Amino acid sequence: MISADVILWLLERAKKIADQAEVAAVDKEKRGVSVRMGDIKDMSSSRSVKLSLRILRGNREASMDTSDVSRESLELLLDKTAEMLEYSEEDEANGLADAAECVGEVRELELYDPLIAALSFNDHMKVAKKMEKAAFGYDPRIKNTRDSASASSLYTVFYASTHGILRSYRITAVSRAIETVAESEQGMQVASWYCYGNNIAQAIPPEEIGRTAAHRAIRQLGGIKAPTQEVPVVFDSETASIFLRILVDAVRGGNIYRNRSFLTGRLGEEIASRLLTVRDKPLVARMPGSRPFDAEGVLSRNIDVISEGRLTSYLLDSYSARRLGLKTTGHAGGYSNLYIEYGNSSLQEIIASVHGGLYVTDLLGFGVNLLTGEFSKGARGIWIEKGELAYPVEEITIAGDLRDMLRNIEMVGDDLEFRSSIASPTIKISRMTVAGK
Amino acid sequence: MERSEAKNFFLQKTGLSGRRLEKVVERALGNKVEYADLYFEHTVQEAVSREEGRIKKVIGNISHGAGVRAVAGEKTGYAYTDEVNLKTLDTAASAAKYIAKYGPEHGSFLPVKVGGEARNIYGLPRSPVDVALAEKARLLQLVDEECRAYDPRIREVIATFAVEEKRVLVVRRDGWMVGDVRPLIRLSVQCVAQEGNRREIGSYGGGGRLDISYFFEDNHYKSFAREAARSAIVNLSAIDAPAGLMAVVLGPGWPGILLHEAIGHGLEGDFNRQRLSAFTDKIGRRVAADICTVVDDGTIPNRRGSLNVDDEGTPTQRNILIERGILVRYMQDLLNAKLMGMEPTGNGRRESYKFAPMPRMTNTFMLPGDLSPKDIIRSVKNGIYAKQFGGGQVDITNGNFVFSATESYLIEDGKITQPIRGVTLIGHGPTALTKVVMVGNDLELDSGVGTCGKDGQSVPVGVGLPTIKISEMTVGGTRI
Repeated sequence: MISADVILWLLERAKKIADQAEVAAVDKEKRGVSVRMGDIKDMSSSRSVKLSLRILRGNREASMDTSDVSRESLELLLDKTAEMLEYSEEDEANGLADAAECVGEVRELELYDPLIAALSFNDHMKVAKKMEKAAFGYDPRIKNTRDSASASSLYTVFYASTHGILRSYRITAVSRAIETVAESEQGMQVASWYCYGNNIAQAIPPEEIGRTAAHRAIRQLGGIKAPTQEVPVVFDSETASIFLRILVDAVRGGNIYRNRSFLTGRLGEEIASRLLTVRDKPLVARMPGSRPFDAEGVLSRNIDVISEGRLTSYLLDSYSARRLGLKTTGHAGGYSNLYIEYGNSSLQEIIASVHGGLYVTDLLGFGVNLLTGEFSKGARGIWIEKGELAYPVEEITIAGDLRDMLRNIEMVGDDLEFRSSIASPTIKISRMTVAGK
Repeated sequence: MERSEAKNFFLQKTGLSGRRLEKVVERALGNKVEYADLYFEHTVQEAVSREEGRIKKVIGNISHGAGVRAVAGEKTGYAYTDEVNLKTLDTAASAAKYIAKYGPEHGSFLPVKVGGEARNIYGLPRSPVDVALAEKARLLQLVDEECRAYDPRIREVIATFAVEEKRVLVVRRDGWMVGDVRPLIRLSVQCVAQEGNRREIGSYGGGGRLDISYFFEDNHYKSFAREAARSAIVNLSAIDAPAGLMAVVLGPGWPGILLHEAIGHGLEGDFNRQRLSAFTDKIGRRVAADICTVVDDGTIPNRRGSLNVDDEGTPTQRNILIERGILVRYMQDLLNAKLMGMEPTGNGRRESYKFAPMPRMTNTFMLPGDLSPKDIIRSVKNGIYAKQFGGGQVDITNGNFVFSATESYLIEDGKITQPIRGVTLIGHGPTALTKVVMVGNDLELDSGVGTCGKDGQSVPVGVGLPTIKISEMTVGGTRI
């Protein structure tokens, strides 16, 4: 569908209308099966391309994406992008990534697993059925499933620019996910579990995924509203990852140079508890978010975002770096393998440390303002009484200020696991407002 | 006209005849496959952003592809390709048909009703993608100036104008084809106000299946700009929000997101057929106070959530979901309607050719009552008044839903007083509307900003609401 020849041809044509240009493309093949109640629900198969062209004339820039890479369509793409360029305005920070950032050794990260490439519909069906069967076998109150799905993808990633670069690499990905429903006279509760990765040997076994989802659904049955109060809140590894996603948005270059984040201007300062270290590591072999270079062709590097409470790096692409007078960190296109470093408390120790408080297992809604630091989200979880998980709670909210939440991280768990490219161990925040009845 | 325009476009672009396409559908059919269809799509999008007083970004996207679906019983096979020719379509059809291997022994698909006469509820003089970039840039400049003129504390303005034209064509097994050409535009305005060290954001936006001239008529663009600026200025004096159960008054228009989250998703056919929704088996039962009638209407001219036909070719319609508090109808696509023995309701939608369709909302709103908004606010001793919202989300199985207010106020002794900081409200879908105790006479549809996400698919939607009072709801602030 797409080849290096097509990309080079497009780049040559782009040179005629622009000083500088880059072409990024991803060719994707995917197949998957989902199962429900022991029988197939959906099967899907696809081949698709996304190609992005960015052109520059002086400090002016325009860009376009397309899924149609026929010659005729690419000619049209060039015409349209050229027309758009006429209406763009000068911006000194525009430009391709500096050539120096793109030169060097392209690391081999072993992101292609031939065993994933060989997975058939039948293999996927077996995995999806196993996950569901394990969920049903976990407890008789698991009576329904929304979806038990297994899928595999093959990607070829291309990048080329007028710096004279043309690179590509291949990745495989496998995903397993189940959403299962527990039902009793106390109502219904749904819960999910999943894993995503590029090496099948590292994928979580289907039975374990099914049982974990079932466990998470069962323990929410009979949830009640907690009284409104200020208490310690323990985020499980799933909800702590959601918290991390908010945090990473707050250090994203676009929000920093626009002064749209409560962390603007705080580089080098202590912004969080000393227990908090956040890293982004694109250069680890066989990890779900690994990449040898970013969306601008900048060679990847591992970074610490927060080191023992100190803000040590923003996540920058070339544009935001220039705006801030800094160097790109190779984060055009976002984070790679982002995680909170594990601490030394076990989950049990963390729960045992709470006299009365919330163990939050699900968060609902948006409710975050990065500029002001407001955090207010719907939640579901288990109430902790005298150091033990006591009873399920739902239809409650938790709220606080992101600055306080970062400072008030009191314990960090030892239970870090990469189920996707973002991960966190359990974390405990000493005080937040829970609103319920 | 619109329909045949889309048909001719795809026949010409693929170089295939209607008969050829029919054959592709036939290939997906066969043993155990009861239904098959082909979906072609060609979408052109363009967005211009103004920031820091200049045009900052000009970006575009062309998306082109086709999907083949084969249905056997409850099972769906789906394959798509963005290289559209006879060979890739045949391959996709064979892949989709693979599902038949696992199909039931018998089955018959609901005979599809080919709905009424061709209509065009968009009726635009030109395609939004044909509007000159200069005109779009001019709109953004005027918006920028209007925001800054509103108050000297407005320090930053980001304004984006996005346009889209989506051509679709559905080909069914009997060779029946229906197409649609769908325009969509949206203006988004975001202001940052600053006073001392305090910075606050205010946002507003809107549009629909409209021409850019809409924003110049009656100075619409000015009211959009002023709303964003006003909201940012109001937030400069917001205090911490209260926490706990209290009376909540929702203003008219966009706060209708309450309906979308509290009951809308829970009334989608797929969730109910699979017994996953908190509303399963509740047709004929009371799910709201008798002053509540809720409608999903895909036929309102020029609205963001409206369509001539849904993404399975079924004409959209006005569906009453809740009538005087009683649940009367789920929203359906072809598959779920058939399996539940109900009628399709024109709600079969998909984000693009990369997805099979499923039941989705169009424009969801509550019919007005007869109270004045003032009287509603006056009746509250202690509570909050919520005027603008960010997003919302629902757990359709336990019924918990949230929506996050970005502009809200305390109500004290029947009067709106202090603005409060951003806060999430949480409720329980099947009971939330039973707590609606007053409904205003001021129904408004939202300004045309909504995008709904479900299973990774985003589609444009609308909502609407008159002012309503909910006797109690949990407000997720920090102040106890």
